[in-house]
Amino acid sequence: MIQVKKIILLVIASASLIIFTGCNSIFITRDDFLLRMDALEKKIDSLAMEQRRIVQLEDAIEELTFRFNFVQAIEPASIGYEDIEQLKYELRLIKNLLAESAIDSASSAAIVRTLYDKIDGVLGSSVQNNIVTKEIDDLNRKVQALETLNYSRYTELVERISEINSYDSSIDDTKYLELLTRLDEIESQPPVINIQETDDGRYEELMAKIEELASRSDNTEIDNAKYESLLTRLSELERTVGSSVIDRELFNELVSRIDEMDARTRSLAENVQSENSDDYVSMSTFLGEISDIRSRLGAAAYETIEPVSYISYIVKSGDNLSSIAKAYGITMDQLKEMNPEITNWNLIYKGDEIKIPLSLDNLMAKASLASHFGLNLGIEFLVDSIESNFGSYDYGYANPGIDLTVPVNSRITAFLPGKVILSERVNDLYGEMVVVDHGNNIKTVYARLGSRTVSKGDFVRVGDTIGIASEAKGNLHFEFWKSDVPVNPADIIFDNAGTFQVTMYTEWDDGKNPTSPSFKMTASGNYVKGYRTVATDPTVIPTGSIVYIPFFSSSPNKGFFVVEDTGSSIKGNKLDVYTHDFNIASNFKEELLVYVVKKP
Amino acid sequence: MKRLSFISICLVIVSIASGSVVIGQRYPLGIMPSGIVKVENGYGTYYVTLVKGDSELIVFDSSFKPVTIMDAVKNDGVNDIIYRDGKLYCFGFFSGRLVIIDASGYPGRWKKIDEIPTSSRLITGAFIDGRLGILSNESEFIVLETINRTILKRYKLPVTALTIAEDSSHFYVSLFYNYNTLDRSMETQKGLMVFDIDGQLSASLDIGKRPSYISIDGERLFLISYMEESLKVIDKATLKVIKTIELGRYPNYPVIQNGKLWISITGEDRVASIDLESYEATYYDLLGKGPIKTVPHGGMIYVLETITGTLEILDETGRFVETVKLEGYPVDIVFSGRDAAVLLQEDWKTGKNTGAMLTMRLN
Repeated sequence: MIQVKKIILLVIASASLIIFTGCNSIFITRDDFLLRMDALEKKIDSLAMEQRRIVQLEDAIEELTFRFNFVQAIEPASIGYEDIEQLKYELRLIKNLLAESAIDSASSAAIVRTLYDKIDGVLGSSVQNNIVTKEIDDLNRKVQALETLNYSRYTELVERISEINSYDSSIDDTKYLELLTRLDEIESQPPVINIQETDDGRYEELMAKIEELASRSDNTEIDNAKYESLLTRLSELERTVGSSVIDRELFNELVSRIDEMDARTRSLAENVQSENSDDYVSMSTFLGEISDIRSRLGAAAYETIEPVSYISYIVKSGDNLSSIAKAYGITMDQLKEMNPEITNWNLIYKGDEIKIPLSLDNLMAKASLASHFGLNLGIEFLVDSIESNFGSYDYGYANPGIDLTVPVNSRITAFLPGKVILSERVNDLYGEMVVVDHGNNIKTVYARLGSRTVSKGDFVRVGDTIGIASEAKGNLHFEFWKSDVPVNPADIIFDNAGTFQVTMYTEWDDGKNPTSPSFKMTASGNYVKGYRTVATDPTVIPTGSIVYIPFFSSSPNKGFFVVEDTGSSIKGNKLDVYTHDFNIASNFKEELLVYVVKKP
Repeated sequence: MKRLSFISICLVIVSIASGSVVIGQRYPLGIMPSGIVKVENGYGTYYVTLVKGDSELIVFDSSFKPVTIMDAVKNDGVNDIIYRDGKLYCFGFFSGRLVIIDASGYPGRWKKIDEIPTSSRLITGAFIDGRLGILSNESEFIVLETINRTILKRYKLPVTALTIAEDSSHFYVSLFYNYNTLDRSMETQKGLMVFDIDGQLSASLDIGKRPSYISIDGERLFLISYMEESLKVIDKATLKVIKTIELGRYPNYPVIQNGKLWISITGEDRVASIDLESYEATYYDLLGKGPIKTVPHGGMIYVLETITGTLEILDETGRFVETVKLEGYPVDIVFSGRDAAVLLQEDWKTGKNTGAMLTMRLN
């Protein structure tokens, strides 16, 4: 019996051994068992590694999806649509493969990489091409706006003379003759381009450009569409410019910018046909270029602010002289003295011009403007407090103003005197918004306010509260418009240093090596940092200065840099931007607008 | 059924435990941290970080927790440090002094014990039997007897050298600036100079443009020719070039481990692994950009990438395993058990012009 019990116990023990150790034989050796456990652990490790890889691939796919959405959101031209469809198909394929765990990590990494390259290719061709077209549209509108600005002066004078003619009794002969003389002067002013007189050269230049574009042998549908678009734009531009008296310098600059655009589209067309992606114009470069052009147009409009000693205010419905005088902080006597032509002070009409004896130059002193917005001109402060800069694409379109984060419940005040012409909630993006007309074709926009404290029709003086800041980030959106052209607020806050030839450099240039004591060290003794360090000619912009370059508005530094370095080839209006990426550095060379924020 | 349950439980436990790299603390360090030196003494293992911009030493323990900051070399503008026999030797670039720190005790008690002036801006050095071979920015090779504080030899080099290596009897110096990139001409044909322990020139070799990093393995010497973008294998006895291996643009920080030489080819976004016996080179393309240093550890290969600011992990066959976003400009990595620490020269997360030590747990 005892023997039987022993046998039963032995069987139970053996069964337990089989169950709890995973051995399928009672005769398995310890070494075999350990060997199998090792194999099991390896399999588990392998599974764990596969899981991690799948998570990474899922991340990569998420990013790819984001990129697709981005591409679609900005309405790519037809050139890229098929490519995107193909990419979508490949993405689905990868997802399926993932679901079946049928691809190994090396091939999946290669596939993801290829997909990224393809997406970059699509972004680098169709979207940029689309942007070129859109930007030319935009340029055309700006040119028309500027043309209107110049032309409106002429028509305004004609209208006013007509008005004066109808009030013969209220004007003396001398004044009338003087106005007639001025009108004759303006009429006799030669236009920049005279369509009939082709000997000027510029009309021919434009025609030559159009012919050149038309005669270009374009084999692809892409090129034809692009060049037809350019042809149309240039024809429109030619008509617009040809019939206007637009400023010669501005016109030349615009032609030059269109030349650049043309060169870019030509380059893009070449790149589409070649497989050399190294020469691609990157998306960021293109967006930066657009920011730069917008800033230039704004700067051109800003320069049209005449250095007169008065503000020209156009009477609006409901205005009276005492309210205007109060708004601008002057007395009625001062107002009368400045406007001797007004004889009946009880009778002013909508559209009349009232001269306000205040100097815009004085009111817009740069130092006081920076402090008005609470801006400390230290680079870290600027980068932290500016949420979105002029021309940046943080919202998917070029920001026409600047977004600041100011302390919650701060009083937002008018920085120039004027009349509130809009005070309402506009939409989700602008929120509570106040627009003030300051005269001289200048308007300012204060948006995303927590609350408004003024109403349409109110006059505001410098420092009057127009709203209260909310808790949100970017709680003050500010725009400055001159003659319906948005001006980069940098123009009214910082010094426009003009156009610089901007290149990029890295710590690896000239065969430098990390073991060198001077590796990453600048001429000023500081160490270089991406999105911070630039090199200039110290006689042009001194070392230690802070500069702002609108081209880089969408970068993490919002376009602000510190001059910390010099360079043997950086002389005159040249500026070298430090970057980690030698691939970007080797291809970068742009003519860009530069502002000096602060000198040491 | 029970076996299946057992395996499932094991699988879950192992899966949880072996998740991806877990990022730990981010310790701000200061301006331009440049390298990590391992110090082992009777009290434990410590990692010393040289913060060049601030000329400070920050000491971490073996679990990468900061232990102490040494500002005793604050005014020296230290360019490099080496550890030997319980002492840290700091090469003062601004002061021209060799500062010796007794690092034999607990870091809190480490102290400066000597300062030896040299009247030259010191770059780096190497040790043989208490004699320190030093390179200076004044194109000198200096042999210093550290015990009696005597400069035994001051040899004027043709150009400034940046790298020195040693074996038991000789110092090997590579003349980095032998090629002028401005006028594209050779300053000197010499590229490698060999000195004995007394600082006497034993031999020299014309080796090409901008010779840089030197690694020594037995009787062979591996020299990276920076501008010729190649690795030259040199027989130490005859100073003959045995083999030249093409690498690519900006080859950096060679690391010898387990019979292989790992080189990060910064300008080509790939890593080269050279078998030290067959000299067969294997290249691994990376997903990240700008690899600067590659370190094999625990069956994995860890690659620091400066342009993308990432740590890319490959398995021992070079297959991609994982990418870790560092959000900074990495320059060095050290391991301690399952922990690792990456030295960042710029901390992109803070946006400030300072570096950081980023710790992580490897599962």
